[in-house]
Amino acid sequence: MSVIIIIDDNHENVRLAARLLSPHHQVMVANDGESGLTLVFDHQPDIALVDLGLPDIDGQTIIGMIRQNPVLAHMRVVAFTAYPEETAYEIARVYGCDGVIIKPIDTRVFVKQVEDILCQEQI
Amino acid sequence: MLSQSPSSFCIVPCSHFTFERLADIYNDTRVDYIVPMPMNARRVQEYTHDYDVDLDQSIIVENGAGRAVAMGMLAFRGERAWITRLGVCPDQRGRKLGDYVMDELLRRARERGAKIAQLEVIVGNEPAARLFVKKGFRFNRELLILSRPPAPAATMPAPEFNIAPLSETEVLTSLQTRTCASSWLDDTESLVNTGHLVGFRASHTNGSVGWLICKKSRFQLSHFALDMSGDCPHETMLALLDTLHRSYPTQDAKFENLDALSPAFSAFMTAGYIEVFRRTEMLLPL
Repeated sequence: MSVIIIIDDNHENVRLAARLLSPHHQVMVANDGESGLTLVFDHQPDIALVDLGLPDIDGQTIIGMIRQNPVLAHMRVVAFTAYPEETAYEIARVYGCDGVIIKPIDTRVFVKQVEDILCQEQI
Repeated sequence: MLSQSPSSFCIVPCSHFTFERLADIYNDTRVDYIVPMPMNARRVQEYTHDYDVDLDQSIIVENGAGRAVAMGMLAFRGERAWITRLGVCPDQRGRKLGDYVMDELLRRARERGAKIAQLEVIVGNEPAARLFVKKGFRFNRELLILSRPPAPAATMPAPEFNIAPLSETEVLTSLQTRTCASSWLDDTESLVNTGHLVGFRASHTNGSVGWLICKKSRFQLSHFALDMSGDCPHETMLALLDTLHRSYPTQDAKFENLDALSPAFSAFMTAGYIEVFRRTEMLLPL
């Protein structure tokens, strides 16, 4: 069982994602960047799914802050976004994300997508 | 055609709503937007302050049941009007509500004495672009939104450059005398309103000069403005960016509305920026 934090302001999406993941993992959610960062620093999860379009702080800014913190070096970070796919992958690449999950999520493969990223060898 | 007659819709000034409510309405109209950019109340408040949005002239459209279904904001600077945050709730589209909001905002702009209206639309948002063309707006230029993760600069400024930080007074003087065209977001008024500005000036032994100014907040560098003259714009801007990111290595950077034809563009790419999306700036003489 892994600890997963979802930072996303879309309540429906968060509910769905949490419902799919929670039978297998411990899931915590935040609906904005500031509370998401607090959760991440307090709980140091195994993985954070970060929406790139947040209402208070840009998602990539959150990811940049996580990536700068050596205490969180073990943590996987995923760009969790409805951005156009090409843009999402480019942002994920330069900001050092471990993966991209495009919204709306595909309920048939979502849990596997997250678990595959959790199992990736870290570079 | 409006499915209900226009008289069954009610126009309410944005000033009648709290920032919390305005954020909710805005987010409702943008829930499926091409580039998700939700706002919370604090961001709406900053936005209206920084960009001189006139909340009395900005509007919410409510249907007969009192539900907010569309919105549009209007800002004024001198004889210029800026239309922004235009949106219609997804389940209300196809009813000409966008037309309705635009007509009302343009009427208000004319009434207020504006001589030109301007706006930006994200490249790829074809329905909005078609609406603006129908209202008489014409393409002015393409603007880039760039982003760079926090990291120190990879290179040092070339030794031929003399680089110095700008004082508060020099920041203002530089902005007031710049030769590069600004968009509404990086107009001098916007930068002065937002505050917390930092800047650097670079001069090359060959006579090339330039400056770079931005807002520095806890997490981010934003609200960029720049100017350059001389034979080596790429090298000048790169020296300034190297200095900026050497000075603030822990800040994420977001440059909204760099002119796509700016000679500075290549320097931003060299300094590690990526293009996130593009906007088209459009103008309408009133």
